[in-house]
Amino acid sequence: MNGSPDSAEAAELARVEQDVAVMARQVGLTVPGFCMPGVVANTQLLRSYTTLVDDLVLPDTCEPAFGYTP
Amino acid sequence: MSLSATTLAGNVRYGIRTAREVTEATLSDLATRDKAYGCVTRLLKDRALRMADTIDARIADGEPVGPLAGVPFGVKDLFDVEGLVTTAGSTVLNSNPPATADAEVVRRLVAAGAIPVATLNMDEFAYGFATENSHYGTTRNPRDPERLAGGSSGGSAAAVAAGMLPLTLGSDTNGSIRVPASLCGVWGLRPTQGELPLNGVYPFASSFDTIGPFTGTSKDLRLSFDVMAGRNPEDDLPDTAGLRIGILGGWFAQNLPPALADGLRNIQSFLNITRTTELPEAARARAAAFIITASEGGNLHLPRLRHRAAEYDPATRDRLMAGALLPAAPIIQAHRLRNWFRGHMHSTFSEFDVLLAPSTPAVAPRIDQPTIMVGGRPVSARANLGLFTQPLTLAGFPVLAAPLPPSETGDASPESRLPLGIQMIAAPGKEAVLFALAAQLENAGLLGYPVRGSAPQKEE
Repeated sequence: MNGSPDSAEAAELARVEQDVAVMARQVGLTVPGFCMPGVVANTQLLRSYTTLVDDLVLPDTCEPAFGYTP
Repeated sequence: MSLSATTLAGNVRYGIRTAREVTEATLSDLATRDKAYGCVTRLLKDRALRMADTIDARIADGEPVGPLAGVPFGVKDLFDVEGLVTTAGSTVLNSNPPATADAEVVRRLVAAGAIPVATLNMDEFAYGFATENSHYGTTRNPRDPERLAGGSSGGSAAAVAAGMLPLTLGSDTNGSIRVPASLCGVWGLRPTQGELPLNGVYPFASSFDTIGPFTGTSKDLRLSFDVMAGRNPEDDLPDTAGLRIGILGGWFAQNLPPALADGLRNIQSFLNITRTTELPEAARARAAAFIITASEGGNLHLPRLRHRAAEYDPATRDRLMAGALLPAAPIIQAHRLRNWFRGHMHSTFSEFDVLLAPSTPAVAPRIDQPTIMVGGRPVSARANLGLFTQPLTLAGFPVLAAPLPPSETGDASPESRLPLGIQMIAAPGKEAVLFALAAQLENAGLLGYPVRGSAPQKEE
């Protein structure tokens, strides 16, 4: 087994690609092969932002800022 | 020579030039000069000339014609223009029926005498900061055509910077007015969210979508906004004496190009600004804006992405797909963070009337090398030009994007002469405070970058 950074990165990309395929099936989307590298890259970027947002502890009383006003 | 919208309207109203003369000259200018920049996607020649004749006839009859009489303007390709298909910078919508009416803000400008003459290029579906569009081409920066105009309202900003149009409309979801305004050296306004109606504007991420004008002067910016917002442009602006003005530090004080830091320092000195403040968790605010935008944009396009993915601009498509796959938890958390951030913004503005911040972390990147330096390393311009605009998007407060003047103290490199801009932020509904301060700083020579043809050009 090769433990180089390159192989670790390749393994991570493969994992994200599998995740993308699963998540896409859940919303009825088939990600064509020619889109996959770009979708994987953007998913990785969004995950970094998700981590940032998730790591801020908010009070239970802080509601989502959805704009709907009946 | 390029004239401001205010001057042009005065000339038309007082018979110095006819609206037809102005319109013909503008259409001719766009048809010839725009080949170098790629701002225009469609010229509205027949309609524009017809409207010009109507205005001239009304003037001849002594009828009122409005404060923008005969002023030619262009609209980003996501505004409805009666009789045209609204493309939103894509070809995916080409089979839609033509718009049956103008977008509401276009209608209001027309009612004030302005004349729509062109639709303008953008990033596909407004998702980008570059105006590199695989369908309609790349819009080049008039200050250096080898560089990007910024986006997504790049055609709108560049048309003003080139001196081809005195007024254009754009949209700003995450910085799509503020970023190209900075890179092209023009004025832009992201009004208070919800202040201008979005009827007839193709959506991107409805939580943040906002529309506003680009102009070559702060006076024109105010005039066009007041017309679109139904405010009276003759009303007095607030007195700037006594305004509590601060500089945003922390996140907004990092990665500043020297010319931008100098420009902010000059303003700080002129206004005797002694206070800086920080917004909490700006990086997370930016992340939340990113997530909400990606998820809403992705959801909007998901039905088409299932069947017509290949028809999208590749860069847009891959972003939208990734956004459509986001699970609910981070989206809801981002909306909770937005609520939290809004509270902090209101708290901050209980102590300040205006805050100043940079608009972009770099001058316009080269088209053949679209990277900028952030944290001492080159990063993708497309993903990072919104570094300073995206956190503010989350709050929905009004932001006036103002160009710094051409740098006098920079080195002799061409890059040192390129425009950079600042953001002036106020509390919701307080656009008039921003216009007052902008006018004061423009008069003092601390803001404003001459559009091409308006004065001896320093950028050549």
